Amino acid sequence: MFTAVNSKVVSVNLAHSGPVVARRGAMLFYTGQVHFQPHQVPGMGGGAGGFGGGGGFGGMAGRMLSGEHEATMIAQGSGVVHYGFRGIEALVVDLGSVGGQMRVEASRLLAYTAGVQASVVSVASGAGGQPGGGGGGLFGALRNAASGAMTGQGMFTTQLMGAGSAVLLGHGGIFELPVNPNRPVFVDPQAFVASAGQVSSTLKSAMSWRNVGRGGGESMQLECTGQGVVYVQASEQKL
Amino acid sequence: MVAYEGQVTFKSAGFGGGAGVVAGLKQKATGESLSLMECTGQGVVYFAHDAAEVSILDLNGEALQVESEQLMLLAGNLSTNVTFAGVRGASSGQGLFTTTVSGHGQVALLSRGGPLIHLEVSPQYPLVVDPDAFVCARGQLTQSFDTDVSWRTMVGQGSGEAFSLRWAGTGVVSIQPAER
Repeated sequence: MFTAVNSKVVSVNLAHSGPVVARRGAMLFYTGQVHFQPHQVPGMGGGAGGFGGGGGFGGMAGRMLSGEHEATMIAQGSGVVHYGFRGIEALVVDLGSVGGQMRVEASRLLAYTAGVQASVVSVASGAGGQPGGGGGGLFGALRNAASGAMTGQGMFTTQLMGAGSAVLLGHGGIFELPVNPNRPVFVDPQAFVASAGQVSSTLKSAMSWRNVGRGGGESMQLECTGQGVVYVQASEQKL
Repeated sequence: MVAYEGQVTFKSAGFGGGAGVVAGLKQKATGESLSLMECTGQGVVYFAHDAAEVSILDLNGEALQVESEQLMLLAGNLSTNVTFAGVRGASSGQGLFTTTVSGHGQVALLSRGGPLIHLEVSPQYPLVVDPDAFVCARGQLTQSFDTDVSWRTMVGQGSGEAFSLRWAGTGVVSIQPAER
């Protein structure tokens, strides 16, 4: 549904795709009759109007805690809209081709068709129902919070489900790494963009007392296991 | 490192980037610092740095002079050293010293703005490059420092290309399509 205009700009015809949710301010230009409205991912908390919006105060707190709070807008009408963001390479992913499920950092998500169900989920609850490696219960949650704080990844991630397509942002371009049960992939948390399919990611520390001060500078890695695809960008730069 | 598969461990190559304590002292003293890590084990490792373009060079026993900040990775059997590069850098900010890589193996270099551009130098055709675009050089080359400072520069009407690197001899000089 999205068409890549070049490596950094995508266009979408709203008449074919239906409404499109995009990062606020990422619209470059449009033709036809298009209206833009503020939009909130369910579970992300209050609307633009402050505490009072959908999720109330609790939702607001949850949103601030999660760090998954990129402001989004929804484009409706009929016409062609072009999106781009800060000259960063964009990749169009058809959710149907990756099993209808994807987890992506909110800051790395440029746009998706509104038919896709977006929600904010805890990283700890691994895809496919099994718990992630952080361990269950309060202790696991605490450990995940600590690891999130250490990597800047946060405890939460945006989950996209259903039929439609999404556009990912990757500084320096994105490459795909297949993951299957006997081939786990380890990714630098800052280079991690998204995972699709039944992939669960757990933070792994390569640090020990023995190598304090003489580590390789790669002390934290996300271990991605399961069945699916991991999207990695060619940079450690955050958005 | 952006990703890897298999069993890989990363460890700091230590003071001097694995080239020994003397090399480390030289790097400290000259500012051509090189902070490297060593990857060992079995598997595939994917490297990228800040969305820069990457070019791979094969070295067959020759020496490669390279800007240390443009050096991304080198195969384990290559060695690095810091050598005196002449009085080029004092005002261009590039430093008086350069890093030399020698041995047999592959080197990956970073370049901004696009892939590296390899320019041939022969005795009849010396090459003059911008110090800010210079990445690496190999072959039998001598470098000198060209200045184009005239009264115009003094009154603020300079062309902005006051300093350049002149390469003479036989070899290949690589530049990047951007200035640091």
